[in-house]
Amino acid sequence: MKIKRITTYIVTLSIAVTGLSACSSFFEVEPYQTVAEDNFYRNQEDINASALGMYAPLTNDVHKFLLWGDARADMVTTGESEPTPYINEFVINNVSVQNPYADYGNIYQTIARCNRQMEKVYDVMDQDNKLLVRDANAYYAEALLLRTFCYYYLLRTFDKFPIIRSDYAENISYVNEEGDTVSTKTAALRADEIKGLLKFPTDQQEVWHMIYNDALTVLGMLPLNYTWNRNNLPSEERYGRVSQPMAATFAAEIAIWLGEFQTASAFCNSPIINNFHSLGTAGAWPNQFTASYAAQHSLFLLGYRFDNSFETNRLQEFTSNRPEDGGKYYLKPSSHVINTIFAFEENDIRSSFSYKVFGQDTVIWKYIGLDDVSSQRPSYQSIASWQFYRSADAFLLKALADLYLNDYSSTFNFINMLREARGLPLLLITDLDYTNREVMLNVIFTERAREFAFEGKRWYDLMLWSKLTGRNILADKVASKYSGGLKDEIYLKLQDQNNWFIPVQ
Amino acid sequence: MNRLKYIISSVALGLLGSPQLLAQQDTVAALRENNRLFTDTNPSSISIAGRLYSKAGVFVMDNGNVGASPVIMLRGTNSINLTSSPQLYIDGIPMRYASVQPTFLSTFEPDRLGFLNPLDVEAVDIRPSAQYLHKAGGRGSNGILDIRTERGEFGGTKLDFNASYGVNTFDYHVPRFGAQEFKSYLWTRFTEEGMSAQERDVHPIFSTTDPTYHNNTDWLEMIQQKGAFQDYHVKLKGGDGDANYLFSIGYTNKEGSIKNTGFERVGLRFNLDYALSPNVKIYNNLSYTNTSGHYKEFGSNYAVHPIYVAAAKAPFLGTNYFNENGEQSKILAGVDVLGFSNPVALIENMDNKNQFNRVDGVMGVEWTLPLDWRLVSDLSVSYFSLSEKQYRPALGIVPDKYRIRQNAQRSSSEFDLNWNTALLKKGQLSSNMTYDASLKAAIETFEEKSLYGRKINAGTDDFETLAQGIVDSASNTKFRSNLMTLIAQGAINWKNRIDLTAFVNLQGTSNLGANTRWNVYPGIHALFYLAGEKQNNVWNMSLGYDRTGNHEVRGFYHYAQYYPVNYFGYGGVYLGNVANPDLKPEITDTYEIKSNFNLLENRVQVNVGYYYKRTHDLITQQSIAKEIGVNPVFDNAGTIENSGVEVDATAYLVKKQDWNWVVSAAVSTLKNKVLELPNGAVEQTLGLYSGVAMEGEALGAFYGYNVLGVFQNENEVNLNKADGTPYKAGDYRIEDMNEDGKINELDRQVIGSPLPDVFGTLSSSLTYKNWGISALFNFVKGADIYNSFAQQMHAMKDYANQDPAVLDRWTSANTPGSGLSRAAINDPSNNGKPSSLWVEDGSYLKIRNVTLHYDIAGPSDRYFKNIKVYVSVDNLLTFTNYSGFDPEINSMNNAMLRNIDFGAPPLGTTYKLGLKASF
Repeated sequence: MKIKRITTYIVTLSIAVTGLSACSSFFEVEPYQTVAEDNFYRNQEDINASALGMYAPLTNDVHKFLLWGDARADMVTTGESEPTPYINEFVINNVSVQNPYADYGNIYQTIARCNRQMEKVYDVMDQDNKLLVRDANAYYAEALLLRTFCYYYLLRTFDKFPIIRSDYAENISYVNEEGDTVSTKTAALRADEIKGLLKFPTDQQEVWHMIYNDALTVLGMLPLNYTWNRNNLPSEERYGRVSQPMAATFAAEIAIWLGEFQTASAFCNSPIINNFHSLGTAGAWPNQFTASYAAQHSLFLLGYRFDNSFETNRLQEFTSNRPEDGGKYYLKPSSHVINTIFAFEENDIRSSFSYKVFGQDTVIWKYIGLDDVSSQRPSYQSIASWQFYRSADAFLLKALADLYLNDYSSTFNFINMLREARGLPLLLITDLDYTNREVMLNVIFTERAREFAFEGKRWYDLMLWSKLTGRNILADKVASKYSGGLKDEIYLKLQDQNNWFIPVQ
Repeated sequence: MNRLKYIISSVALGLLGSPQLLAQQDTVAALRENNRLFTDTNPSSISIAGRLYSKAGVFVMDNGNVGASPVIMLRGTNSINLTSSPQLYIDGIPMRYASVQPTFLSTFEPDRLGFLNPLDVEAVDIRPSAQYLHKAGGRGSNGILDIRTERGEFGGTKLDFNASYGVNTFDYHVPRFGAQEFKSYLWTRFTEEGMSAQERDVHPIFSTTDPTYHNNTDWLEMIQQKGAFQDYHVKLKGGDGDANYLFSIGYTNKEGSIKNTGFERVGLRFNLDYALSPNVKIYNNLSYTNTSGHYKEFGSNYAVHPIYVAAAKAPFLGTNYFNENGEQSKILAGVDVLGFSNPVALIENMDNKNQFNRVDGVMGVEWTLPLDWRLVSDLSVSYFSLSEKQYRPALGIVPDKYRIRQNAQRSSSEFDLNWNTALLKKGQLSSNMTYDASLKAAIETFEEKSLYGRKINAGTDDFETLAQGIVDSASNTKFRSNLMTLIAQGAINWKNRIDLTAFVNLQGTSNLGANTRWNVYPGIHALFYLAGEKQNNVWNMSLGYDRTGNHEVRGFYHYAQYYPVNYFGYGGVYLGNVANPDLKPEITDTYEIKSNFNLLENRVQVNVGYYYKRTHDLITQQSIAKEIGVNPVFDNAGTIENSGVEVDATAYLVKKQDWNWVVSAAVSTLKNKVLELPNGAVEQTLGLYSGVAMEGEALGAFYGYNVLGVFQNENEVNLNKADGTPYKAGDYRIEDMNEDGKINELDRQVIGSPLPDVFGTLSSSLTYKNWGISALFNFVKGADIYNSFAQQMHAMKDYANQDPAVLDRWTSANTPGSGLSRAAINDPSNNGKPSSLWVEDGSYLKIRNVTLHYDIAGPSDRYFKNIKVYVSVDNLLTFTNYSGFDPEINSMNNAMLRNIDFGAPPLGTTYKLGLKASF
């Protein structure tokens, strides 16, 4: 009798326990601060949020873009008396593979997010029937364009990098030795195994054509003038995200690198005739840096918002000479640049806003100034936008393309349009030999240097200039920054074009 | 053979039992808990951690940063990314020792055990692995402290009143320049930095008239105090057999040795045991505690570290402004011309405080059934809330980047609901064999929430509130975890000669995915009685194996997850975690062999044991090619081993009518080694400092550069900085590990280990009639300390007051100094990198406590039973070569970042007068 009662207890207990364990929801606890996969990529808002997420990694890297594109080139040198080693590696063109500022990891994060976005966008249409094909196309094209832009940066900067064109977050597809395409879980592979499966381009030309084709693809898919899914984008997003006019300017630039000047010239027309973009006014020019964007001027930039979201970059740290602001004064304009690029023409807003001289110190002013006199950004609020493309790009690319199409008057006109917009006197045909390509190249690249000073473009301009002329202008210009034995050493080093690229481990 | 049989059969009955029982019996702990042997059961530490120094096999490192968590370690450390601190059970209610949340203030980890008044505690049982506590399972790999509070007992009402009052002192002595010496040091530094004679002459600090720069302030003296320690506790106990109760109320207040720091606790407890019928007993616990603490930044943020700033601040400055007439005003001086805060402002005006509230409730029933069946079931609820505040005004305090003023608050809470049921049975299998078996089931749900907000730059220093200013950051986190445990256990005993226990613990947790959430944690334990007679003079031996785990994984890594990110003020999202549905707990296998001798009629007890602990499936991040562009996945890869010998002995040296003398000692060794890390070495950093987990090294080893000397002159410089430019004369000569002539991250190496090789304790208790004296010593050998505070006092990277040793720095090829680098503003050659120069041996021997006591027996009319009066000194003397305040430092609990000394207040010496009256 008693045994029976005890047996009943055991049975009851077992049933209770089994019942609870069978109830699997007991164990299905969902994360609170994040969104699990099942609940994401369901509607247009999700796509839009992940589109914004694609840009985020690049915003952490703008100081690197400054190092890659300017610290190595002739317009920038170190501001410190005993330079910080890893910064100095760029200044003296001796970048080592350990250099943390040479890490392209964040660019690949953007690439990975773009790839994922491209693979998910069209699936969302099944779940959100408000999302039309053209909207999905726009999101797809945005991701493709941003990815292409990333490869464009890698291509001109690094000596070796893989091309990844699909979402490898969970699985990697590759062709095995038998020639079959197989898919393996990424997590099951070691880092070196993954590296072995990645596709490294055989030559640069292959990548040039890939990015050119991708840029052409998106031109037809992106909506014109920020009507994104039939909604107008808020102004920050118009410039903070890639757009059709940016795509056209970008495609024009690639076309020039590839020597397709006719196409380049044609692509430039799109942003030039676009009502939303123009050369703007000289007075509004500094707004590109002091405000988060400047209407008319801006095409594509990386923006930061300090209030509430506390996004900052490191440009203040890199360029300011005031320790109380967090300035480390890593970089400053090199003195001969002041003389050769800026100082000889007065009344140029770009000269008075791009740099300033305070006592012993010459500083890059673009990222720390709030006007062209002496007001500075508040301490530690480094939120100057990083410009990738502006309307001025289109005008000067047009001038460059037309120069190679032997349309000298057009070149001359476009340069003058820019000068006029910046408040400078027009160049006169009588003043310079405007049909001389070498002379005009010098005029254009000098104009670019003034317009885009310290925006991470100089190194690549020198590469392009060298490519267009077939002479190593890069080595000449960069070596001129140094003195003594270092000058000859670096001149010799840069004679070899392989040394133009940052080594990768 | 017959002889052996005789010995075995004469083994005492009383020593039989399950390993749990043995754990209580075979250590000297039980003896020490006894009030007679060791009087000062109430050391001046705020938590029971202070009582663990006398226990065998426990490593404790308490500190004088009052309210900060002491480090407790059982049998080494074994996790890189999860906790390495023991799990706690307080009357069966589970609690983590170290918080999982990020700290509110740099390195300050509030003591989560502070809520528990040591005077309420009956016993702390050390359960180093699951064979000592079968329910350990997925939280047992760091061992367990099983804490039981006192309960009522049969007999008349008994009232115990405890009171003690003491003074906590430490004389802060940091070698540094006096006012005049510092001025001449600055004079030389300014000159070295290229300041012209004219500039220097007009520099205000060298003014001959300005009273602002003609003081002689001992800043350290300004901020220290003699802290009072007060502890009052009333305990009411009694019972009539059917209902036994305990009611206690306690108040503790401990002030730190730095002004405006301290800890206060008020708690009450009601424990009730009630027999409903001869077969049904219920037990209830109810307790509530409120603690509050005031503390300062004694961690890595030196800019507002009062002790550092007091040491680094120019002594020629004064605490208050001088007005135009040269009179000192009532207004506190602001940040000085050299960039330092006013230590008085840090002490008086900047405030960090916290408040714990904890409620525990347990309701249980024990049902004795026929045929030796028993059913035990209980339900416990615990609610633990912590509110933390920081108030940082502007006056006299350097701004934190753009934050001139700060007000921050965090409220967090933990809720735990726990239901346990056990069905137990014992009986006789045959005439020679008895058994003891049980089935247990437990269900637990845990929820933790936290809300954080910080507002900055309010209009004035007056508002200690979140109502003003702009939002600087805010966050809201929540974590929920459900746990189910099923345990089957069986023990058989053969002829009282062999005792065999086996158990299996099946545990399911919501922290892991469906593939891996159920895990099996088995164990087995065998005890052999080799020799002995009756209860005395026993020799036995035991072998054990068990498996525990660490499943406190909070990232839900089994789901693919999208994380939020800001871009341009808009809310973006990205794939932040790629799902790893196969992520398992970290698994620890423990093997041990132990032997216990009771000699000379039990006058001497000796335990000798050896354990080997192997932890595998460490949760580490995969090394993924960065080109894949996603965060690396967490997976199970990595092995760590810990092993050690544990010996303890107690001897009743004198046992006479008037004289009693008991001595006991315990020594443990520790060998910790990371065996495999397939995902590569793991580094964690705190400020400049890095701790590393690396194959072949101890876990959390110091990772830095080995300094070989100083380049005496330019010709001697044979190394380049990372960029290939040469070092300068006067820079440190670093060991070039990869011999590429260049010093960069690749040249780092292991420069020390925070883990001790040997540690132990010795106590002695001598009584003569009503008098008694007891002493407790403890020692640690082989643990290194990274002395970041000393490095800071020799850094010469700014115009801080420094250790006078810097006069002997490298200044030129002709005066190369005696081992310190050149001085340079902002340290362009990074001579302040973490290096072997600042690693010191933290070995020590401490007189932890000495107590003299006198008992007054109650008079015949029984007005009172007994009054014990005592004087006691905590931390009387420390023998060490360590140059910092104390080799017991305020260390992080994180196994990767232990033993970094940021110069937090040390324990100091506490002189105490106490009284215990029983009525």
